[in-house]
Order: sequence, then structure tokens, then C-alpha cells
Amino acid sequence: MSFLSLKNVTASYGATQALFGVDLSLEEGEFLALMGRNGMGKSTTIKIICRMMKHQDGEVNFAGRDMRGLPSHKAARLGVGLVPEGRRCFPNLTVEENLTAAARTGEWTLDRIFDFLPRLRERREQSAATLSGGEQQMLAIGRALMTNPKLLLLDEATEGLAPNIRTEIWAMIGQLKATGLSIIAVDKSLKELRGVADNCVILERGATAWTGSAGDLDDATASRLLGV
Amino acid sequence: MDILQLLIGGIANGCIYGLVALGFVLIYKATEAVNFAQGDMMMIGAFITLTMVNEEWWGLPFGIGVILAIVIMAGLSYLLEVVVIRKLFGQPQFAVVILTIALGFVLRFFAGVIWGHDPQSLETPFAGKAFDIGGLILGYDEAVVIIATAVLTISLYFFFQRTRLGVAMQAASQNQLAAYYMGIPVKWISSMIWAVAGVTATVAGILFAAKGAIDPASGLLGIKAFAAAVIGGFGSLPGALAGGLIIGIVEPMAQYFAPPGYSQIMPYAIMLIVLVVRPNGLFAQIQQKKV
Amino acid sequence: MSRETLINIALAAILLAVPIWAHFADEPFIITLSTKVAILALAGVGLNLALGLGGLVSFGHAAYFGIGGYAMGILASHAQDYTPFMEWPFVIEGTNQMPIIWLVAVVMSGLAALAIGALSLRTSGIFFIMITLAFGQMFYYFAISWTAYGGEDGVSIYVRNEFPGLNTLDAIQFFALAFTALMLALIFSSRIAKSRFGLALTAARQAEQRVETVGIKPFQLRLTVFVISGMITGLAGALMADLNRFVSPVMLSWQTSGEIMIFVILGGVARLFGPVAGAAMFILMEHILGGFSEFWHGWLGLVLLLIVLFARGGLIGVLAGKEKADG
Repeated sequence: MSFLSLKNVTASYGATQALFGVDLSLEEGEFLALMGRNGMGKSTTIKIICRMMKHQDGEVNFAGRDMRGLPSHKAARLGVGLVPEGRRCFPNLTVEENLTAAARTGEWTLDRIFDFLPRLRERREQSAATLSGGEQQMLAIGRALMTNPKLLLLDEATEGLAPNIRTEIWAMIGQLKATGLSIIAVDKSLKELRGVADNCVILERGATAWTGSAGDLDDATASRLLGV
Repeated sequence: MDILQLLIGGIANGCIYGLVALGFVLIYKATEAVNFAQGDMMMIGAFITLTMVNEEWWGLPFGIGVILAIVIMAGLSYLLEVVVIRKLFGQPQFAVVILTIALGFVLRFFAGVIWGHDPQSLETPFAGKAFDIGGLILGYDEAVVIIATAVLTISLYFFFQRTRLGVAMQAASQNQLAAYYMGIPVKWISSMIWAVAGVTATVAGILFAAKGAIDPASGLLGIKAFAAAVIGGFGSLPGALAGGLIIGIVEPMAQYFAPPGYSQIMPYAIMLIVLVVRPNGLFAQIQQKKV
Repeated sequence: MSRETLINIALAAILLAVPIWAHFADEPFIITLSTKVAILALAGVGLNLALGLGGLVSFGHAAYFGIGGYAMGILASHAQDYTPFMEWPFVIEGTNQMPIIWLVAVVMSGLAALAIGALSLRTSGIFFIMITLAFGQMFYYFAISWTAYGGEDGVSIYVRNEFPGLNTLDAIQFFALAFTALMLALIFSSRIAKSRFGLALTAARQAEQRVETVGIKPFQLRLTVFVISGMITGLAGALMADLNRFVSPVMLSWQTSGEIMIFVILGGVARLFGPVAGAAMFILMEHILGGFSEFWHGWLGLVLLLIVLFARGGLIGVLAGKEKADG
């Protein structure tokens, strides 16, 4: 049984169906890139995995558990760590408070986070609202890591950031991969994703259109399904 | 001398307004809901205590009665959130406003049915006695009000700033969605906040009933406490207390110095001035919602 | 014709039929009750414009209700005493002519709404609620201390004011005036809601920033609807004062503001006939339940609770189902 598996998952927003049969599987320690054009269902899939949304048909299994009916804060307790789209830091809390608000015991301690993200250590007493976009992104990643997740979900982690910050964050993501953490990343930067991902799943109109290893993803398929 | 005496009375009243305002702000910060029934919760808390403590009802020892009443109100407030308020999750703020106004009606009605409509006094161990400080009279009850308010406010402040749970509660109030993602049990936190607001309301009610008398309409002072919360900035606990103190002090001063009738306008006039000069209140925190 | 329109017509018909029957059955009290319903509904129509269309939770609408009432009280009392209202810089006599009084009521409440709106609309959310409440309270306490016009006791007018061509003391004729005013206001309200102005307001209510990017200024829109809303409620206040031949600061209190808001909600916010249904329900409850106990507000609270929890569209929502276009 895979670490995380989605089989034929469908989901709707009210009357509008968004997912029409998503298949996805992830082994422990794997880095999976979830790709697809805008509106194809990537964010919805992420929401299903961290239980912000309920799926209709299909199975969602994580670490041997069927996730059906699980509320999102229990999913977080099981070890799903989300770095949400748009960062969503707690604006009036300090960097340190943001990190510790939801922290759980494990390998990732405050010190280790600060070692990993030194800029946060410099700004530990600053309120999150005063950080730059890149720093907030680092804070969001750090906050998720502080919950000591077994699976890290990165939803558009480099969106809206300047190129040099992006490079920094991709470097960090590469380092995270090296620690053996299971990661699913949704992102638009095909080049960087291909460089760091083990496997890719491409969604088209709410269903899995292509899966395979990153190496097998050729330019022709990429341009057909991603319009790149 | 007169003025100092008025000041003492004003501070004591201000503490009570402040405690009620504290409840408003707690609930607003945590859930963005405005609880127009906070004043009526104060009234019910007072009546429950009265039932526990007064000789003609159950006649329990004061301390025990107070603790019991606080626990009961905390439980009732918790239930209120779970059973009623939570149903309005996701609806516009206005719906909760109307709901809590309706709740106020219902609470006043039940209070009248259970306890009658005549004012009643709470029997306290410190009624009637007073300190004489060089001519200034400080009633035991006034002293208790001031000390209790200070203790409660400081405890809450430290709870929210220093404890893990308190920080998590702040996080939940600043960005509910993100808090959910992080595994913070936001719904449970909302219910707990209502319970805490119930506690502050009960303490305010006990202090109010101890200083004077309580009847089902007493909760209507909630409107003034509301103004206090707005003055303080609606986002800050010390601000709520400060707002309450400002109103509490200005009221008797206006009565003393200004033409009759003006003292009633004061809470609203101050609130208007504050809203015009500093729209987010005196102690405003940064309010932006990060998307 | 949609279900809601049918219900609206039915409501109007009932509101017309009951007093007509009462007139022939010689039950003037019922005519008075119906008139009250019509007038309160009118006040609610005003509030509903601000609340339902503009999304503005005004907790101080009693201010306009009271200003309308006091316009009547002041002008009529001067007519009654044969003293002028003002002598300098020019003479303004009192009057007991309803059309003039109503005009003054509408203008004065409009001006008040303009002033209050200009200040309050710079805030939003809970602050807007509080600031409108505060203004309402200030008018209330001001009226209490205005001893020239009775202070807390208010002003009594002994003879009902006049309307050309009608015998206003005849209950059914006065009802006809109130009913006509209500119908006109409803038609006007419906027209506004469907106009470009109304659509822009709805857009502004739902997505503020986007509306700004197409050049629509929400502030101006909202101020306009706020003023119109205040004027309609002001007219209702004058009519109420005419009906009771009495005006007092109570018309300005936050309890009155709350009551107007309550029956708009009871009937259904943003539903055209919501205020009519709500006012009818409110008066019925007051009359029937109030007969049992002076604390009938508790039951009102319960009904309100149930509506907010289970029937957000109010009475009209229950009867007519979901609105056709999701407003």
C-alpha cells in the first residue's frame, strides 16, 4: 500500500463538479509534482488530501488510513502538513509565535527551523505582517515543518515572488527533499519542479491525464498538457 | 474631594463596563461575531450567583456560590456556541448580530419568568463596609470590583500572550483558515472563548449585583459596554478595559459638571469622537486580513 | 409571474381588505392597527433599502423615524398655539397641513441621513453598526433634553392634521393615505432595485474592490441609498406621529431602531414585501401576545431566533422559496 493514494476521486463545489477521477500515489520519501494548467483541479486535490474538502467517490488513503470523514484538523494531526497557497501567516503574531502556535514534537524544533531558515531567526520578534513576501513564504514553510508532518504539501510555494527569492526557496525545497520528507508540490515552474521531483502527475479537467517519473516527462507531453 | 469620590465610583463602574466589554472583544477577536447578548449574559450570571448565595434561595457560602455560578455560566456559554452560534458559521456578520439580539430578548424573558422583574440584591460578605482613606470612602465592594477586574484582565492578558493555547487561540482569531490547516482545533477554540466570555460576564454580573441591585433589564447596560469596546478598538483586551474605564469615569463627571442629560450621551459622544479621529479605536491592532 | 410576486399581491390585497371590512363592520380599532402596519412597513421599506440593497446595517434608523415625527410635532404644535416656529431671519409659521409637514419631514430626515451617512460610511462592519447606533442615541438624548418640545414627555397634538380633500379623522381615509404612501414607496423601491443604480449597489455589496476597478464609487452609491432610505423612514415617522397625534423621544430610541430592523428581518431582508409581512407579524404578535403579558418580547425573540437559524429569508422566504436571482 502506498504512503498516500488517491483512487478515482471525484469532488464537487456544490453543484459544480471539479474532480472527475483523480488517481495519484506517493511512496514514503518521494517527491511528487502535481501539475496542470489553471483550473484543472490541482488546488482541489490538495484540499481533498488535507481534508479541507470532502470527496464524493473514490478512495483517499494516507499512512494506511482511509481519510473519508476525517476533519481537517485531524488530518493535520495524522501528519499532513500544508503550506497553503498565499502563505496565510497569522499577521499580528510574531515570527516565533507563528512557528510555535501549532507546533508538535518531533525532529523539527524551533532551533532546527531557525538553522534551516536563518532569516527567520533574525526576525523572530517581528510581527508576520511586516515580513516581505519571500520571508512570509519561508515562515509558512517553517510553520508547517514545526508540526512535524509526515507529508508536506506545497501549494504554489513560489507564486508572486521575485526570481532570486524563488531560487532560494527551491534550494530549500531541495534540502527538504534530502531529509527524506515526503512532499507533494503544486507549482507552475516546470523547470525547477522537473529538477527536484521524482514523479509527476498531470491533471487535465479534473482527472489524471499523465503519470510517470520526472525523467519520462518529455517536452512534447509537457507542452500538450501544460501549454508550456 | 467630591471629584475624587466621584472618580472612585466612576472607576468601579468603569471596571464593570470594561469586563463586559472584555467579553465582547474576546468573542469578536476569536470569531468575528458580535455578541449583543453579552450584557444579558452578565445579568444571568448575576442571577445564578444570587440563587446560589442568597439566603432566601440556596444560601451557599459566598465563595462556593461564586465558583459554581462561574462554572455553570461557562458551561452554558460553551453550549450556546456549540448549539446555536456555530450554526451561523459562514453567514454574514449581521446574522449573528440579529441572533444575539434575539437571544437577549429570550434571556430577559426567561430571567423574568424565573426570578421575577423586581430588582434584587446579591448578599455578599463585603456589603456595606468601607475603607476610610483620609475622608475618601472606598467601599469594600468597590475595592473588590477594582481588584477582581485587574486580576482577571491581567490573567487573560498573560494567558493569551504567554501560553501555547493562548497563542493558538490568537492564531485562530487572526486567520481561521490557516489555523485549521495547521491542525489547530478552531471550532473547539471558539466554544472555549465563549466559555471564557461567559466567565467574564458572570464576574461582571457578580460585581454589578454586589454594588447595587440586579433585575432582568440590567443587561441593557451592555450597549454602553459596547461603546467601551469600540472606543478601545474592539481588537484589544486592555483596550476594552480602558474604554470601560473612560466611560465609567466620564459619566459621573459629566453629571457633575455638565447640564443635565448630557451624561447619558457621553458614551456615544466619546465613541463618535474616537471613531472619527482614530477609526480603529484607541488601541487598534493591525487589522488587515492576510489572504 | 413568480411565486413571490403572487404573495406580494396577496399581502397587499389583505392589507387593503382587512381595514375595508373593519370599516363596514364598524371596528375602527382594527383600522388603526392596519394603519400601524402600513406605517411601520413603510419605515421598514426605508430601512430595507439601506440594509437589503445597500448592505448597510444601520442601527440608528429610528433617528430618521423620529425626525419625521418631530417635524410633525413641531410644526403642528406651533400651528396649534398660533405661534411661529421661527421669527428670524424669516418667519416660519407652524402648519397643520400634512403635505407640507411630510415634505419637511422627508427633507429633514434626508439631510440628517446625508450628514450621518457621510460620516458613518467611512467605516464598515461592526464600526458602522456602532456609529449609526451612536448617532441615533444622540438624537434620542437630545430630544429628551429639548424641553421646548416636551422633553421626555413629547408633544401631543389635539386635532389630527389636515390633508386637502380628505377627512383625516376618518380612520379609513387616513389608512388610505398611509397605504398609498406604502404602495408608492414599494413601487419606488422595486424600481430602484432593478435600476442600474440598484445593480451597481448589489455588485458593490458583493465584491467591493472589483466594483472600484470599473470606476464605480461605492461610497457615493451607498450614501445615496442611505439618504433615500432615511427619507422614506422619515415619512413613516411623520405618518406615525399623525396617527398617534403624539411624538416623543421614544421614536428616536435604539429600541425603536431595533424594532424596525426586527420586522424587516422577520419579513425577509431584501425581499420587496418583507417589511410588510414583518410589520404585520410584529403588530399581530404585539396585539395577541401582548394581551397575555407585557413581556411578549421574549416570544418575539424566540421567533426571531428561529428565523435567523432556520429561515434566513424571513416569512417571505418561507412562503415564496429562494429568490430567483441570487441577490
